[in-house]
This record gives sequence, C-alpha cells and structure tokens, in this order.
Amino acid sequence: MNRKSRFSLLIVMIVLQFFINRYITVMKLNIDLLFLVLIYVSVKSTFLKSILTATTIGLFTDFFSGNVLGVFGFSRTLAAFIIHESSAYLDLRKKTFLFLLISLSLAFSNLVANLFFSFIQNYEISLEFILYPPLITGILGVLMTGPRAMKRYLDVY
Amino acid sequence: MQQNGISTERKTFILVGVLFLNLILISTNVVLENRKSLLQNILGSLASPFQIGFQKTVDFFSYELQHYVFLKNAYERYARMKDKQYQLKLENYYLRRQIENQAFLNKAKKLSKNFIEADVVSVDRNFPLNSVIIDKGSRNGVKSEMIVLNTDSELVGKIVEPITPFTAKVRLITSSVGGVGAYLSKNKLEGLLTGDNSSICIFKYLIENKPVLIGDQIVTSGTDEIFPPFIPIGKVVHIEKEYLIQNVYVKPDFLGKSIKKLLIINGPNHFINE
Repeated sequence: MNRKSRFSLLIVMIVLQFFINRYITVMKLNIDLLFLVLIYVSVKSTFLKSILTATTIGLFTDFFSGNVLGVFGFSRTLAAFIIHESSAYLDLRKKTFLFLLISLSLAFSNLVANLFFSFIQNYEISLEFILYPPLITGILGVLMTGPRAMKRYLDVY
Repeated sequence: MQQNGISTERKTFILVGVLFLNLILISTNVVLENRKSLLQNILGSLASPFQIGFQKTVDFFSYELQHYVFLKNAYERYARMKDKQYQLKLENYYLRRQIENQAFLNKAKKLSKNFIEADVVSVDRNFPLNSVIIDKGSRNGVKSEMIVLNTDSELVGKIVEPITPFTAKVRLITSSVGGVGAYLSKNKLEGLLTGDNSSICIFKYLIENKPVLIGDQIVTSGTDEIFPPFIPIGKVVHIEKEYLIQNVYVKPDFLGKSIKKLLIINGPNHFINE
C-alpha cells in the first residue's frame, strides 16, 4: 500500500472524527477513530513515531473534548507504549486479539484520563466513558480490518 | 537490549519525558484554570481553521442535500398539500353552492372584488361621531357615495364630499345627516336607521305590533340603493313603543372597535337593480 492511500485514509478518519465530535453527543456512541490511527501507527511504526503520534493525537483529543489539556496526551501516550510493546507478542491476524487490543487499550487509556479528571475536576468514574466507546471502537476496528482488500490496503496480514 | 535501533533505557527515557511533559501541561492547565496556556492557544489556532472549514463544508453539503437531493420529504409535503388542496376544493365547492343559493350574496360578490384600504387621519373634533377624514382620495379612485366598512366588514358610513386627491370624508352612520335602509336580520322587518351624532342610532318606522327584541341584529336592506344589503349595522339596545310605530334604538357594531383602518367598497352600489 502506498503512502498516498494511507494518508488519504487518515484524512478521511480525521474528517469523520470531526463529524463524530460535532454531531454525536451520546457518550456511549463516541467512537474514537483517531485511536484506531494510533493503534495502527503503534503496531506498524517505530517506538518514537508511535509515541509522538500518540501524544499529538492525545493533545488534539484534549482540544476537541474541551477539557484539561494534557490528560489525553498522557493517557494516549501510555496506551501507545503498551500497544507498541505488547503487539509483538500478539497474533493480530486473529480478530479476537485485535478486538481485545483495541478495546482494552482504549479502555485503559480512558480509565487513566478519567482518573485524572476525577482528581482534577471531581468527575465520577464513568462506565459510559470507560466501557462503551472502547467496545464500539473495537468492533469498528475489527470490521475495518475484516475484508481482505482492506487488510491488503493497510498491509496487515 | 536494543529494539528498532533504540535501547530500552532510551525508550524509557523518551516515554517518561513525554509523559512528564504531559503532566507539566496538565498542572499548568490546572493552576491557570481560567486562562489559556500558550500551547492551548497554538493548538487552538491550528485546529480552529479546520474546525470552521469542516463546519462550513458540512453546512454547505447539508444545505445542498436538503435542497436538491433529499426530496423525499418534499414529496410527502407535496402529497399532503394535494390532499389539503382537494379538501379545500371540496369545501370551496360547497360554500359556492351555498352562496349561489342566495342571490343577494351572489350579487354582493361583484362588489367585494375590490376594496380600497384607508387609514383614518382625522376625526371631527366637535362631532366625533359625525365624520372622519381618510388618507385616500380621488387619486386612489375614491368617489362620492362609496360604502365604508371597518375591518370586520361592519358598516361604518359612506364617502361624501369634499374629496381631495389625497383625502376624503366619510360620513358615519351615526351622523345626524342622512340615513340607512335597514331591516331586522331575523324577520326582515324594514325601517330607516338614522343617527344623531351620538353612539346610538334610531331604527324608525317599524310597525308597533311587530316583534323586536333587545339584541336583535340590524343589517342593511339595500332598498335605499346606496348601501348594499346584508351588511351588519348594529344591535338593538332599547325599544320605545308609540302610537302605531315603535322606535328601536340601535348601537352600531363599529363603535367600540378601532376605526383606524377602513375598507372602501370600490364598485357600483346600485347592483340591486342590475
């Protein structure tokens, strides 16, 4: 897969994320497409690239969520580190593992962010935030990498 | 140990460094709770044009889609309107049938084709219930003897001289000059309605033994060949019986309502004889 195609897919996902942030106000349905990008980069790229991408994505997530800047930067960086380190030991051709990787890492990342929010702004630990978006994002990630053409496109056999 | 060309120590160092930077950022945000940090401003400046661009693009496409592509709703609305139109046509048909059964209304239809809207610009200072001046004159097609109604289609008076290009005088039915051919709407007992510059008009020449009740509606009869028939005038408020005749006192309907805006019937008044 050439770089142009991947870049165009990235743009599409960013635009879709804009759309989700703007129009989907139900937290349960808040799919995190940028996290899928983060996972892809973390699995496929070098350590430094994945960490920097994660921080950038996290900071933009912070900005779009309108909350304390740095919280998602922190949590996404941590998640990217875990994904990068653990992906070497996982067989991501199996959909179950892929689903678990996406869901658990996003759940972990959201939990860290939620803990920060609870410390800083006395937010409650919210299942809607920790549980549902990771599950939906996980399902979407599996669906996206399901078709053979898409696998070839993303270069993930 | 080395992986991807970076040692584990270096990895840890990078990770801790990035996390530490994020923590600094968080603490900066918390301390400066109500102020934006420099990075936030930079991020905002970078992201805002995209956000605005995205929003505008979405708005544009939504508008285009709604107006040119998603015509499903438009079709449903069209179908509903067609139904409504059919109902209205049916209703119109029955109403027309009703009107056609009444010859006088059929004739009155000719009159109601054109109205001239006018505003009252002055009232007779000494006899407020005698006449008013309106802001339409000969330039607007106003002529002597034209009938004047209020916005509820109740009789107010008629146009009299002087008529200037821009103004005209309306003699009210409460004026002591002139009179209106009228009858009781319930039994068509006819008489002459005259005023005396007060708020009550007298309905004259009604035979003493004919039944009249307080509250009965008085309407124009059309027999005077000035006022068209069946225009509401007022209601009976008092009855005085005399030898052979009875004087019925009528309060005009237009009194107590605003006469700021009036309607002049722009057409022939002698339609009864047509």
